[in-house]
Amino acid sequence: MSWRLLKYALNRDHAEPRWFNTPTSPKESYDVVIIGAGGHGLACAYYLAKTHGITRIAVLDKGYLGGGNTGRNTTIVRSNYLTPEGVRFYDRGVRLFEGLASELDINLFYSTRGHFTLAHNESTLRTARWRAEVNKHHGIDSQLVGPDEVKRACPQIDLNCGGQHAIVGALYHAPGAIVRHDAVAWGYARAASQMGVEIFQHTEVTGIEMANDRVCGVRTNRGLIKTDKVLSAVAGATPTTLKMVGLKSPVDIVPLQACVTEPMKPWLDPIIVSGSLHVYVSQSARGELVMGAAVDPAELHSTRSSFEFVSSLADQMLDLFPFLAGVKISRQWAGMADMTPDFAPVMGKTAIAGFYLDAGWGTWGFKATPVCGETMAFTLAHDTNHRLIEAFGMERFERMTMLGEKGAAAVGH
Amino acid sequence: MKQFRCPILGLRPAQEFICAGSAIEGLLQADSAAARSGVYFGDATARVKREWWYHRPSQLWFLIERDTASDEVMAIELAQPVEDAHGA
Ligand SMILES: Cc1cc2nc3c(=O)[nH]c(=O)nc-3n(C[C@H](O)[C@H](O)[C@H](O)COP(=O)(O)OP(=O)(O)OC[C@H]3O[C@@H](n4cnc5c(N)ncnc54)[C@H](O)[C@@H]3O)c2cc1C
Repeated sequence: MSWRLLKYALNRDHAEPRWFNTPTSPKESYDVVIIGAGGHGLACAYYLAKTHGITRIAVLDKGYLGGGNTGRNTTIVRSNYLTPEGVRFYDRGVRLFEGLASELDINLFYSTRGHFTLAHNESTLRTARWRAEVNKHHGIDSQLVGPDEVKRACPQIDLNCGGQHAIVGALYHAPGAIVRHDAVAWGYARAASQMGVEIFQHTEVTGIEMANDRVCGVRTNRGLIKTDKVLSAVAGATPTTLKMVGLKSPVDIVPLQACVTEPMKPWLDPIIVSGSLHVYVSQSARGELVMGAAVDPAELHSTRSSFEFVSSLADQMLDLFPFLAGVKISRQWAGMADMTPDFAPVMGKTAIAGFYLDAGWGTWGFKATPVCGETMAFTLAHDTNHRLIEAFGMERFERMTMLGEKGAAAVGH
Repeated sequence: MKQFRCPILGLRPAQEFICAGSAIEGLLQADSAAARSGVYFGDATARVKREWWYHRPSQLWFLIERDTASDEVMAIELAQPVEDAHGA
């Protein structure tokens, strides 16, 4: 052990300040209460304080900071979606992400890798072409490429996929990136906290108080907190908070699982997604292959992981990379994804005055963390939906004006 | 490995089945506004619910009552007689 480390351990007076404040107990009231200290809730607190000067904010989490889907996702950031509303929104998200490390003064390990969505048949190629054209129209770097280009970027891939479903092309999105998820939550938490935002972990919201049809406070396991603005940013617990204000849920909860291999020397630069094989993979800075698939087959409010998931994932992954047969899976886990029927989010004001929603982020919301924070902060501060989220209101299911993002979000998150 | 105990098939791996969503009461009788709201909005908290499940190998439909917190199956019944399902 080094002397410095030993001295540090023995010294009670550490120069390094805590990352975020931990006030002993919540105040009687706040201007805004945010339920959920995931990336979305914390980012909203940060932009409320920074851009709108609102700092009397409490962020409450029933567990620990970033312990929900924020700390469980496979960290893919991209903007090659299918609908114009989605593309515009995610493009802003990617741009915010690119400058975020310096803004928050934290190393996010933001690593631009390039993102391939493989096509194994004509119909997938058609969707890829459609996506590429929508993307280009909005100025997003996205193009159709042939098998040769896939091979050039990733020489280890078996283009024949064991002879069963040869790769016929791919949608290539150069800005596709991976980021360290925990650091995003910690960075926003620290920056928000420095501006006066208070973060309470292990503080569960158990009810929402209403008077004259509007929100007037939240009940928690630590008592009542008064406020007239509540943001629900609770991903897998969204149906529960909606029930607290008497709203029916357009969101269903379905587990999404992921796993990592033991670490290897770096060999995989790009992010590879195959919709037909239901798998995707990238290699983290630590050398692990981070792998995932589509959501579990049915609704479930649980973060259990299953053997069916790893076995079918490994089976498909070996079609792409047969040489991985001897590599071990070292960890697997799950998050509770808040799924919408059209694979687009549900955001903004609701039928209840003072109750704002940031949900329906399913398997695709990590990349949207900064832009959700920015647009929800605007929406709360002005009590008007930000223009980038106008299409995401839950009324769309009543009006049958769905957004049809499934083709760009079902497997590639 | 997760398995379903079927009334006529015995114990079968869950992977042989496809979940086709919630069995919503009165959907066919409802007018279109009520049907829309039944399909897209509901109580989605952890609860015991009825669902349609399709068994691929036998091409049979089942109605399953399942706890969405524990994944425990409380009841499973054939949705229609086998002869009808197979058009016999
Ligand atoms: C395995 C997996 C892989 C994924 N991969 C990607 C990907 O590659 N790219 C991508 O863009 N997205 C991905 N996603 C989706 C992404 O992780 C989420 O959409 C996003 O992180 C949601 O962030 P959040 O802050 O809204 O929610 P969360 O991080 O889940 O935070 C919600 C918080 O609310 C708290 N909470 C809940 N109820 C209460 C209550 N009553 N009181 C107080 N606190 C409460 C929870 O404890 C939790 O900490 C993936 C998800 C999973 C599960």
